[in-house]
Amino acid sequence: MNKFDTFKKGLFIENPIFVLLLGLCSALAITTSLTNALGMGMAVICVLIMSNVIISLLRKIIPNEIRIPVFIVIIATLVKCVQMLMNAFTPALYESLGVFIPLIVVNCIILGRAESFASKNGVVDSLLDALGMGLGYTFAVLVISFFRELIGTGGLSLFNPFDASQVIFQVQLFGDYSVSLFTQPAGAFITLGCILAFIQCLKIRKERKAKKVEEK
Amino acid sequence: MELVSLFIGLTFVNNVVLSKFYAVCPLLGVSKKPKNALNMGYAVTFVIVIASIVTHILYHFVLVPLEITYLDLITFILVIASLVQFVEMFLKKTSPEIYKSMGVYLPLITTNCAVLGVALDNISANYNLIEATVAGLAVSVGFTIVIYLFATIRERLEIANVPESFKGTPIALITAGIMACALAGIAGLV
Amino acid sequence: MNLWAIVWLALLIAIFIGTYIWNKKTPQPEGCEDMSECSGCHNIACTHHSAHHEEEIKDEY
Repeated sequence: MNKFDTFKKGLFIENPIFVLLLGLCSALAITTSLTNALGMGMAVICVLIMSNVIISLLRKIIPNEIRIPVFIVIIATLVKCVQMLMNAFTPALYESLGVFIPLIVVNCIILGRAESFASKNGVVDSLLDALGMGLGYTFAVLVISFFRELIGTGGLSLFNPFDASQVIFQVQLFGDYSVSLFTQPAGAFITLGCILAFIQCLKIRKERKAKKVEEK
Repeated sequence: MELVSLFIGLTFVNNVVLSKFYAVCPLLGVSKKPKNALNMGYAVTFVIVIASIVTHILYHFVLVPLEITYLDLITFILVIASLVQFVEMFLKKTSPEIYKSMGVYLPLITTNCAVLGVALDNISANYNLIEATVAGLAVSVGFTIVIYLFATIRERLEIANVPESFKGTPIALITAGIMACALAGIAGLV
Repeated sequence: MNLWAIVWLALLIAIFIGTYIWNKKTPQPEGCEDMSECSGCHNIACTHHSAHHEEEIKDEY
């Protein structure tokens, strides 16, 4: 598989949230606003890249029987470092993401990619895979929070993660018709369900077209 | 009395799955048979209660006196993982019947957000040991109830007349959303 | 640099690796070898491993 495919598959074909359905705990919880989603995406990309690279560098040294414990220790250390950095440099984001930054440790994406890809491939491949998966995750979370914020509050806003008072954009489209259910937990489930249904619809149509072409 | 309201609050109102999103992966991934869901619930209850007690003791009697509270995350995840391994080995040696019914789900509990989430929440809410235990019990009872109800509903959804694009995970998520709405309705209880 | 941090970490990692290897060494009781309905369940790495879904589908029909 060439290098560009390794990177590209994480974005759409094997998107961690929409296709592989990994890491849903954090995806549903932090998608209340675009700023949170972007911040969490950045954190996950950092941890994923670093863990993939480190595990790929160490893959020949780690004995095969104790692979999983070593992965868990490496990932926990990285997440704690990222958490402390976020506490220092992005305090507003740290407050709003709360307990879900430490929960990146048990996020299935990171341990899953480490187990299935980084422990078997070289450093450059692992780096590309991590970047693709991380960007796929960020894209998915941004899509979910776009819908939740738009329908839930009637507007969109994005703040600078490093400086909470700086507004990148803030649009208010409709205030009176917002359905505040979507900022609540129930709305998260419903939004993700509808997005997955849409993707499944596209997949079914593609399969039907392929079958028709085959029959001809 | 506070303990009772803490229990009811964490089990129903702030249900760990439907309102705090902690254990969503097992909710969608574990078998659609209610009996297996119940076994998963038992395994999770066992691990969460013991983990709450052990992590609380370790935090307050080891990490705080030695001033290494920045190691809390690594400590908790290593303790939880060791606990799961130890419980599985213990069940394998002493009781094959129990291992047969619920031991299969034990390795999955390590990456269950709920266990680590409960441990971290207990610390940030500054509970004492009794409150931490009750919180752990409440979280796991809430999880078991939700996962059991969800398995029974999914059993019926398999044969229901669902539109084709919604079959499988999408309709399950929307069902979870409706259940979350129902729980939000009793938010004023505690 | 706090020395206790290194000691505590080394202790925890040793306990974890110890229990992990101990668990791997104890064999499953007889009759339990094939009872799991999915091959992916024994993998600690993920709850939502795709192996789970294949076995479940085979089991349902």
